[in-house]
Amino acid sequence: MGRNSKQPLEGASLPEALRRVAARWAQETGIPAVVAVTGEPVPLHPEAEVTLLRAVQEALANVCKHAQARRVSVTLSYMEDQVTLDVQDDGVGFDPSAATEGFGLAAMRQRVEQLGGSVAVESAPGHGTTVAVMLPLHPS
Amino acid sequence: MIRLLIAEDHPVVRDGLRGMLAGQPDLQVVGEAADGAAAVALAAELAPDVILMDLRMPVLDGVAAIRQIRARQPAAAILVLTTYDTDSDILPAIEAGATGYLLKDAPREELYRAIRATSRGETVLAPAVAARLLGKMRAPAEEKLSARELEVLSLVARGASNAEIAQALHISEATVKSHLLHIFGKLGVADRAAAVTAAV
Repeated sequence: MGRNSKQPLEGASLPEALRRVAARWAQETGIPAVVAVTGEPVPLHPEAEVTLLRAVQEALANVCKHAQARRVSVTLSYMEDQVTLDVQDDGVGFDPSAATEGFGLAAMRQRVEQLGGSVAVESAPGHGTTVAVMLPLHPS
Repeated sequence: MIRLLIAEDHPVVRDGLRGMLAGQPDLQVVGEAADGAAAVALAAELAPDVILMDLRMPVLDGVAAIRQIRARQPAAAILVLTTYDTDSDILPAIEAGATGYLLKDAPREELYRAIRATSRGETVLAPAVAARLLGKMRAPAEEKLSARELEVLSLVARGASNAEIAQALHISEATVKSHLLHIFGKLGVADRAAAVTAAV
């Protein structure tokens, strides 16, 4: 039974799951989290979707721990051959060249790279932080 | 010693798991649940280090059980065992608080490794569709620019740098670059100046 023959459960799509995770996180932390989805959402392999959902959970947990942010943006961008997830905060930022990678981020990077993707962390002191996860799309 | 709870409604699978795990000196099955409700109760009673969780179970399904366990025991380590890696319940299970998932036909060494990793708080994912994913891009793109690509291109046309575009759209510069590469590819141009010219 091919994965394309199976309809995903109602409410089980990655954009919907991301929205719920972000909404719950915003409620718990009191920090607004804005979710945007661009491009044409297509179902990914569950392993890719799980990886992205875990990445959001970890990135948001890091924002809560370190960033002192007033706002967070979560953007899922579907492109023809890849999907990217950006979690951007407007918090205190840090110097990426001076910081060592925490366990959560290193683990996230390892999972993403196993799927042929990449993780980038863009930050500067005083200028917030953006965690960017890129995964290639599987052939349709 | 890693203390395990097995939540699985099929007795044969349960017995098989217990048998496999019995040979590992550092793993100990301390409880077995045949449905989700029993799993929630036993998780509270036994506080196991790792919970092996089936998704399709009577009374209370795996996703609902995970949610309840997670609500009461935030630190619980829950490894989902599923039959299909295309199971549409996997994502809801992770969302509900499962730490990772593994296929039931995984080799036993992989199961042991996954349990130990889960007990350390690591995320475990069934391996390697990676080979399928790697290097296999989809067919060449349509030539039409997407709404987001038009948005990026209009910012480029106004002279915005990648950093400025990233800031305006609340995305990373890495993602801006990806959009630009797609725009260049679709327009058949090599740089941003040519892209703006081609799009006018």
